[in-house]
Amino acid sequence: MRPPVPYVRGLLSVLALAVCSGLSGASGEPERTTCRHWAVLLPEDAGQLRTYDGIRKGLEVAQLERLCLKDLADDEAAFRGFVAEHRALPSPTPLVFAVGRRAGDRLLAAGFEGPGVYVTTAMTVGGLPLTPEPALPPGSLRARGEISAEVLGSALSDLLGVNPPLVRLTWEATSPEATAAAERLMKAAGLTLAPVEPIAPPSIVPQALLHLRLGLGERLYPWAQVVAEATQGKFAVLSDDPAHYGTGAALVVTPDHALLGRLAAEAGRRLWRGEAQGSEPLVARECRLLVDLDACAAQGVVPPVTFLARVHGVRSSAARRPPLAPPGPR
Amino acid sequence: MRSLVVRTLLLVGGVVLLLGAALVAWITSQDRASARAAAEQEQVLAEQEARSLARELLGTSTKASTALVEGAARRLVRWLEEEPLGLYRDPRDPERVDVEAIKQALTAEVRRRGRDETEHVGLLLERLGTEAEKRIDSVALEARRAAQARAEVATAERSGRLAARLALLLGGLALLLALVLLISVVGPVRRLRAEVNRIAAGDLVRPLAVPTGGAGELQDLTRDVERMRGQIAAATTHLESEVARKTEHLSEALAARTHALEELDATKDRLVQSAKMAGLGTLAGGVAHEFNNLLGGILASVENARSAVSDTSVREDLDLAKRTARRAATLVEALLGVARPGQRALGRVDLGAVAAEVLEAARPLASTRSITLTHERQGVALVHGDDGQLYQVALNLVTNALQAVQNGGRVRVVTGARGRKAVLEVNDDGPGIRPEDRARLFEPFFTTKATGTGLGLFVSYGIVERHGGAIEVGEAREGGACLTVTLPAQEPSPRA
Repeated sequence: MRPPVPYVRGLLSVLALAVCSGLSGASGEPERTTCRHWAVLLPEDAGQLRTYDGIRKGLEVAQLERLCLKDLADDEAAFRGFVAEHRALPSPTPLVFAVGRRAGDRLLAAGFEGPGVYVTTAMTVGGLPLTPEPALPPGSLRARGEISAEVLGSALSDLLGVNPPLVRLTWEATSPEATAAAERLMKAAGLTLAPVEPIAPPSIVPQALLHLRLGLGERLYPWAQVVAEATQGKFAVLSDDPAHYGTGAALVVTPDHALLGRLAAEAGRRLWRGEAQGSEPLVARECRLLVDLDACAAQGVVPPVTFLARVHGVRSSAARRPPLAPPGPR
Repeated sequence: MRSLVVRTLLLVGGVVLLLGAALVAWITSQDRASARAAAEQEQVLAEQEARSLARELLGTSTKASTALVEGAARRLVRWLEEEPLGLYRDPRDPERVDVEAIKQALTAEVRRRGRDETEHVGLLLERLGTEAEKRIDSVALEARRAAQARAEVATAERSGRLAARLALLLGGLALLLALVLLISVVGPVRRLRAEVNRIAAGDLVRPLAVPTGGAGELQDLTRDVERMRGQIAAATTHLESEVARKTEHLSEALAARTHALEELDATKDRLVQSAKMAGLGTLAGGVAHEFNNLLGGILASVENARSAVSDTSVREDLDLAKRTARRAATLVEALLGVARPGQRALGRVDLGAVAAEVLEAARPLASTRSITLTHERQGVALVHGDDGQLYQVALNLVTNALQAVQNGGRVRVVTGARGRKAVLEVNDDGPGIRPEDRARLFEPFFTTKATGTGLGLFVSYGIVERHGGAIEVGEAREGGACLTVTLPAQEPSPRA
């Protein structure tokens, strides 16, 4: 498990301060000034924070009580203490949103019995998650943001203008399951997988590096090393972490975390209102494709204009922004 | 212009100038053609590129715009599809959906997306602009290349015209120069070559028909050829006379050699014949000696018997036996004469006189058969020898001739001198001697006549041999045989 990157910690601190300042802000609604529901989050990528923000906004739209982030250490004792504390609260016990796979695993391991919403992202092949998801206890729901392997492969081929492109994963497989999952992913995405080995020195020159988190205990290489190798070797880097958009990834494929957050909020609303039927997850299937023209230029990639027209976001530090039209009457 | 080297150099220079001018003109025309083709190609490519660029930009812009609009609409629809509308229910009345809240959320989403899409469109337009700038720069570069190519064409055409004029001028000069040099060099060289061919064909007598005066390599060459012709002619004349002299000398040597060979063959034949006859003579002498002893005993016994008997008839028989024995003794004596010549009365002998005496003795017999005897004296034929033996030789030859000819035939005897030889020839018009009989003609007891003894020619051969002469058999002009006796001639005495 790689340690949390520094900027994620900083972002969390800023968010915590913002939440605290919000608690003391003048919302005018007493029930929203105190934290009623809780979110637990062990930072893995920047998408979790956006999801958390979406949950908060969704709960606000649903006129539920305020959600706060419970800052827990990444260890079993901390989660057990939290669960015990939660059990001791008077009924109805507040909702707990576990954002991210690791936080959810910790919560389940600590014996949490709900009501809880497990928010995860997953790579899918043929509409099904590539990696298995643990069963949830009664009174819990799952909200899942998906990245389609087919969409990922198609986007990478369109970006490079090569079909199929030769790619390499930027992690070391720690189990046969991880290797098998990677092979299934490559097959579904229509990509050719180069031998899984350390990036440098490469025995076969790939055309792209895939920096994906499959949740199978893989060890990802440091992002700075990946970007440096890609820049030197002129490989395009594809990542599923929104934090890499603008920090070295030529293409970022990510779920709509804001939507995922609102879906998680809807799941929480159903649990809170007693409307939850069954355990079917709420799924955000829309993948967001983000292209960084600066990274493309550094990595020797010239994305076709037609591809750029159909992606969700394009950024360039040297862009001459067109003057915005003056805001009209609302 | 007098030196051939100078003329040759000028000719080569002219040819080089002509070729160079032609090459320059050709290269210039090629450059001009290729430059014009390249300029036209560049022009066409630039125009095609511009049109292609316009179409491509239009197509790309259209596709991008469509994708943008479609993407935005699709994403908005997807938002509406995936947005959890449960969030918008009234908490106090869960069956009621707060439509106003949804409208507000949608409006906010549309605005947010509008901002995003505006930025997106801006970047896309910038991207399109960047690509268009690149392509326009490319087209401009092509246009500049086309203009440059046109300028190069113009320059090449100017250069080509100048080069063509220069080539024309140089070519004309070179042709003129070549013509002059051809007239001044090739004509004399051709005439000189004809003269040289005439000399090579063997006509060395006439001098060269090309003028040999003046200075220059060609004139030097002409004089050298004329000198060479004279030397060759002199050498040829000398060679021909030398060959004639040598040929004559060789002919004489060949004739002498042929004569010597003939002499050698004759000598060899005579030696063989002499050896054979010597052997036969020795044999006959031995036999005759034994017979002579026996005949002596027989004659003595017959004489005693005749003295002892008185009967006339017996005495006549004994006389007959005595005469026969004496004839046998005479024959044996002849044989002994060949083997042991005994004491000879040598002296100067005139073969003409001997022949005349023999003919005189034979004439009565000849007249009985109407045979004509003639004697031709061809000079004096004096020899040193035994007159009686030589008389016997002549008698044997004439007797054989008389026996060989038919009645009314002719026998001609020739005596004389031939060179240092004295000759006695006996010719007849008889049947002659067959070639197969000639080798055995002088053997003892060889005869072709029914009553001959075969000793006449044998005895004659022995006599002539002892006199240092020879007997040869030939053909007489009368058609019969010709037997020739040659003996060493003796110079007539001054008193004779």
